[in-house]
Amino acid sequence: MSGAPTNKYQISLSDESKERIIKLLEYSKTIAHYGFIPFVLYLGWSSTPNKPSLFNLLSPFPSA
Amino acid sequence: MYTYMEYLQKCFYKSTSWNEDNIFSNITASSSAILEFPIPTGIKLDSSSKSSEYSASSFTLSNYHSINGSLAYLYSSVPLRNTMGTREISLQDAIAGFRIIEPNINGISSIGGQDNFKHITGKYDKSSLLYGRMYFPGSALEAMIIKRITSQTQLLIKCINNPHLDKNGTMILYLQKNTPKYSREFIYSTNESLIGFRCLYNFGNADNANNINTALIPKFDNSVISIGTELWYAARTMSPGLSTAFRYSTRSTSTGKPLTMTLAVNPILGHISSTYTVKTSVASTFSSKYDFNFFSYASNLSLGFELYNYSKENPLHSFTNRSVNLSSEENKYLEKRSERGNTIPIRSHTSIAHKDKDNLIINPIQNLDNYYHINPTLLPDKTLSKPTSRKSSKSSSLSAKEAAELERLSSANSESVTTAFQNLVNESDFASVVKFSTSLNDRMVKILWEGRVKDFLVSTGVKVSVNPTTNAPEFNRFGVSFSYAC
Repeated sequence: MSGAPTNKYQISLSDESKERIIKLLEYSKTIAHYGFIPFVLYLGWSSTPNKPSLFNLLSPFPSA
Repeated sequence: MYTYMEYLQKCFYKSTSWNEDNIFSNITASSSAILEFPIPTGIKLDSSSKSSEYSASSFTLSNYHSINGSLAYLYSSVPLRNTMGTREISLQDAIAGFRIIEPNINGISSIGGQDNFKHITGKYDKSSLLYGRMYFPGSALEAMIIKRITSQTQLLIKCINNPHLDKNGTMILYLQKNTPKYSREFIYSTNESLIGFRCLYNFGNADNANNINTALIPKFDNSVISIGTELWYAARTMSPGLSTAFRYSTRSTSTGKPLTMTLAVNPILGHISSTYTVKTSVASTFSSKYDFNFFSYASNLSLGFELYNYSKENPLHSFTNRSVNLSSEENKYLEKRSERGNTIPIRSHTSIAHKDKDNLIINPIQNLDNYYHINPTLLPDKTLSKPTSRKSSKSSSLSAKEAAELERLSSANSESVTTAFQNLVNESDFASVVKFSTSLNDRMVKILWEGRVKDFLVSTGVKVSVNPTTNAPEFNRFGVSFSYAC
């Protein structure tokens, strides 16, 4: 009787879907972690008018 | 020494007319550059290249503890055209040093008036910069995103993430508003749920002085007073933080030499820190800092200086007869070098001009005779102040013509001395710099040498301190860092 109002605004989730959400967050974190640098590279590549080669873009060493 | 990525970030700020000196955290930048410079540890190698105007990459290898390194990439939506590699970069741009605080912030009155300013900033309203660095071994990621929302507002996100640690990352968000008159920042950090607010207000800008008859009062518009404060609250531990700082920056009207004084107070910790930094000549800066805690009565005095050495190469590109408004030290230097034709070596702009003909840098001083001739396009727009000055001159006993002449002379004098000194600082061709700093209470000495060796920028330094128990001197830090960029 008294417990009903407190539960009113809570979304009840099954353990299975909770686990799924945690897993999804984990995956998205990993994707953001490893995808950030390729994303930076893609932005650099796409905004350059004469699209540079992948090697040119990746190499931090001076190219002749 | 800035890393290449830090240098590119500064270039991004410069080309989108974002004034870094107007941010509260940089209020003591001048003194900390001379007193709290970092000493490299171990051997570090840095190779960077700008693959296009929009992207750059950098690779770092160091042997601190074990061999480790990092790979960094940067993207800027604004083309970074006037950047330079380590071969041609001026040391003043590559190394943190004295920062001359501009009274006319964001270049409103220094470059072509308000319309031009709007034109420049409007172009870069939505500009952004992304930077990512991955460290190995361990593949920890350091990321930064700068997104300009309007010309004066930006969102800055900094993030560190390590997949191999349990509590593996932290993120800081800054929402910054930076206008010539003030700057405000709202900060949120996921670490401890830290919430912060910082602000900085400037007083004594030149745009107010234009309304008064400048012929009759001495010009004090070289000075800027900034007052700022920061408030912090860690929501998780419920601990507050507070500090206030004051900065006074001015330039001598006779020699044009800039000096900066700051006073920072933290009433919660009872800490007061005052600094005095002065550019004693074109090639030297001196700084002192006094710290005091009024709870413990502990105090500390720090002293430091930096000395630049002129380059012995490129004697072709130089200004002659520059001894007009300079101190005795520069004049002595000129006398000593009289066999070289009374010149101070300056950096040539031809190397840049060769690279990109559309982006020629206008030389502010055009003629090379006994007087400074400032390029008229770089002078502040006087058309706005003309009607007011005419009105006020009527009320005074001077005739309009006399007043106008006086005004012209006074503005020409103070403009020429301060800008001439600044230009000399910016354009002198230096080969190396020696930094020295000591702290009496900590009983330590730091010496750093940074300079150009072939096409590399080399930085080497040592920190020696006295052991508090055995009283024997010991080396705390020692290292060499090489960096190459093109």
